[in-house]
Amino acid sequence: MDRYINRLFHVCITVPDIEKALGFYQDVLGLESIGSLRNEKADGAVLGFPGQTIEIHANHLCGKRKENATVIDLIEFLTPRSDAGDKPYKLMNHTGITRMAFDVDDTDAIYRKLQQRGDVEMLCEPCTVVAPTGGSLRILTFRDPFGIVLELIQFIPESAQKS
Amino acid sequence: MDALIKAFLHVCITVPDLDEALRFYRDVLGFKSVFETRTDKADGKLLGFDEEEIGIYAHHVLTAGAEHGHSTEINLIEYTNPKTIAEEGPYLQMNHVGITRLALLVADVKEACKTIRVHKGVQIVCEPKEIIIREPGMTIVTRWFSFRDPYGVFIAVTEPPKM
Repeated sequence: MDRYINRLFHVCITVPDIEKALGFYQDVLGLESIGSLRNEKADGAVLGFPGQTIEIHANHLCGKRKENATVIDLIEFLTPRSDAGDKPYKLMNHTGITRMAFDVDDTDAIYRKLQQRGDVEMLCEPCTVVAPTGGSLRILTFRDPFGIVLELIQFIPESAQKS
Repeated sequence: MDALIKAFLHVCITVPDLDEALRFYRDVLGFKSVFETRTDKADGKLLGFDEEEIGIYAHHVLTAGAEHGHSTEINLIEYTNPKTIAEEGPYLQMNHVGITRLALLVADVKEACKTIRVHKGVQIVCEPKEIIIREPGMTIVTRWFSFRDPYGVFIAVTEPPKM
């Protein structure tokens, strides 16, 4: 079979308020914005709005590792407006793109930071699970201020574990 | 500000039938499976379920040439207990708050569209079209098309831009 997809280019998160979203994704999670669009007008066809001109604010975000990285495309729709009435998927077994996971150095440090905010709902306290490939994973799952489920995963190699 | 996040590890797509999903993601799109798990003992709390243990069947897939451990994976997951909620598909509109779509990079948008559109259940949202970005002293031509996978997940496809 021919393999013609080079890479996962970006994953899009639609938010109701780009500044509030940046306050979280940039200032709390520490993702870096590598591109920004404001009041950008575009043909809506590719996004499923045929015959309409859409207007968006957008930021492209990435982590520390940038080479060939898949970026997060954070978007606030102005025309038509972001629809926040209906929340993101409540249950992770809903069909669709349900969550995303980040590789981090210290799950617990971020957990403490998230707790201080008060607007972040934890799905579960940080927990340690055995990694399928040896070592272990320190994992935390939570909802961002808009209800989107994110996961943090810290890999702890076997050699670093206390016996 | 500290960069807490090293990398964007994976994005999760929940599907009702993983073997069927693989016939699209692996056999049509050409993703390669790098990890497989089938267990009745996944941590339910971690994913926000009331149950302590849940059943899942999952494949982690990567694009052509992507280096395992250094590229964002797609985590295709079928929930077996409780089962995937399939009645209500993914977000219908791209301005819905949440993780709404993925974008893939291919060498040639028209060729990719030809290959993808014949798979049963695929719905083309927008035929290949040029989107021209005009910046001072520079015109960039990008080409895109978009489709829904057999479960309704929204995917946009682009090729390297031409200056």
